[in-house]
Formats: sequence, structure tokens, C-alpha cells
Amino acid sequence: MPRTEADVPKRGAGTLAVIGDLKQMSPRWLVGTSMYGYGVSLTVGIGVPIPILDEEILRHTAVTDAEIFGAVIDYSDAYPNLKPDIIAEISYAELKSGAVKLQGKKVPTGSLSSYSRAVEIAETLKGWIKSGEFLLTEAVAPLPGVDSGVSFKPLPERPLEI
Amino acid sequence: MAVSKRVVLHFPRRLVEKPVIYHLVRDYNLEFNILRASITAEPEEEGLLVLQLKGEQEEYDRGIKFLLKSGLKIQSLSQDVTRNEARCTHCGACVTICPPGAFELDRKTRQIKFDDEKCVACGLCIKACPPRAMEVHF
Repeated sequence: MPRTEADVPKRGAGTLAVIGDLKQMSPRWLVGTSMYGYGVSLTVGIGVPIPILDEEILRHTAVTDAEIFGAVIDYSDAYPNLKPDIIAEISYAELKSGAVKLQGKKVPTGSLSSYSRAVEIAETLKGWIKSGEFLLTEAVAPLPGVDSGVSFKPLPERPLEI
Repeated sequence: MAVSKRVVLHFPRRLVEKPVIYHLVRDYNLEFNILRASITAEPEEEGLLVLQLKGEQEEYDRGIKFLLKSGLKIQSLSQDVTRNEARCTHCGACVTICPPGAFELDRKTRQIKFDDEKCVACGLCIKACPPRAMEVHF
């Protein structure tokens, strides 16, 4: 995993596997979306509390937009052909400014996820924690155990010849 | 006083032969810019013209009266592309797609403002919007 000198990952670093009852969820945080040319997806808003237990955790969570880098990828060739080449690495601060300079040209930039909803969900969770509605040291619900009848469907692996 | 308005004109079949735009220029001194022109599908099968008209307020008003007398149906453009506020999540996917820049990110709230005055009803945002919050009505 390529990281910056401050140890910040420069590519997608992890995936959160979550489980929940859809019928108890609010449509404010679970939105059906369609990406033209790609297909249908589910846009999910998740609030995750991160306990600041020591200075190292504090250092990693206090990272600014200028210290987070994203790769600019060619979706027409590199991406579909699984080539690792990237066009550039640009900081989130620059990407959020609305325009970046790429190969000598000014290119407009925009987001695909809602920052305002992210802030709202974070504030909501913060409120729950402060009021004691959400506990940090007690599980909300147990993960399904052996007796639950839930079983995993193994993913058939189909490795590509590159 | 000079005005600039965007209008949607619906031409029924019988008016296809009538050069109304020519009259807007010659008789009412209006400058026109065609933003969109098409023939709609069944059942209406009518001509659709989205125009930007510029000229003196008085001549503009008379020009519109002329169009109405000729049998055209007129709508103001700002009614045509609307945002369903209940669906919009302010994700920002629309911002860079819009040619006239009708969408703007508010830096403080991080929400997206839609200026329907800038909108030319090109329709690019309709499919670009992931939760399908943008709607077009003609």
C-alpha cells in the first residue's frame, strides 16, 4: 500500500463490511443511485466513531485535505485493462478547490459523495454518543453466530489472465 | 430597458410553414439564440424550440403577444428543469457536467445550489444525477 511520508494511504486502503436490517434504516442514509454507463448502486451513509486513545491515533485522524492524495486514473484504457498506471497524484485540497491542472490543462473537478450528509451523520452520531443513546463499549447487536442460520456464499474466483 | 429571457415554444403542426422567428427579428427587433430545436415524439408530434430572446422590454412583450396570436404555446424556461429537493443528496456529481455552470458548491454548507436562471435545459444533468433528482418537463 503506497503511503505518504506521514503514513497516509495513497490508494483505496480498506473496505468496511457491514450488516444491518434494511427495513430499520432511514432513506436519508440509504439512497438508490444509478451511474449512467455503469449501473445501479446503493449509496450508503455510515457514521463510524473513532476512539482517540493515544497520540498516534490522534495524529492519524488529524490529517488535513492537503495531506490526503488521490490518484487520477484513465478510465478509458488503464482501468478496464487492469493496468496499474496512473496519470497523477493530487491532494484532496486541490481536488476540492473545483479545478486542477492536469497535463498542462485546467480541468474542472467535483465530488461524487455528499460532504454535507457526511457531516450530518457525524454530528448525529456525536449527539447520540453524548446523550448515551449510543454506547461505545457495548455492542449494538451481536454478529450472527453459528446458530443464527446465516451462512456465507463463497465467491467463485475467476482470475483474469493479464 | 433591455431584457433577456429564455422561452420554450411549442409549434403545432399547422404552424410549421409559418416563419415566426423571422418576424420576431424583423418586426420586433429581437435577437434570438436557439438553445434547442426538436420535433417531439407521439402523441403530440409538435415542434419544440427553446430560444433565448434579447431586446427592449416593450418589443419583447409585443413579440410574445404575436407568438401567442399565431397559435404557439409558450413557457418560461425556468420551469423546465427542476430539482427534486427530497431526492437531492448534494453529492456534487452535477457540478462539472453543466455547460452553463448552473450548479455551484456553497463552500460553507458544502451543499449544491441550483440556479435555474442559468439553466439552458440541455438535459445533461438528468442522467448525471446519481439519485435522479433532476427532472425535465417539456
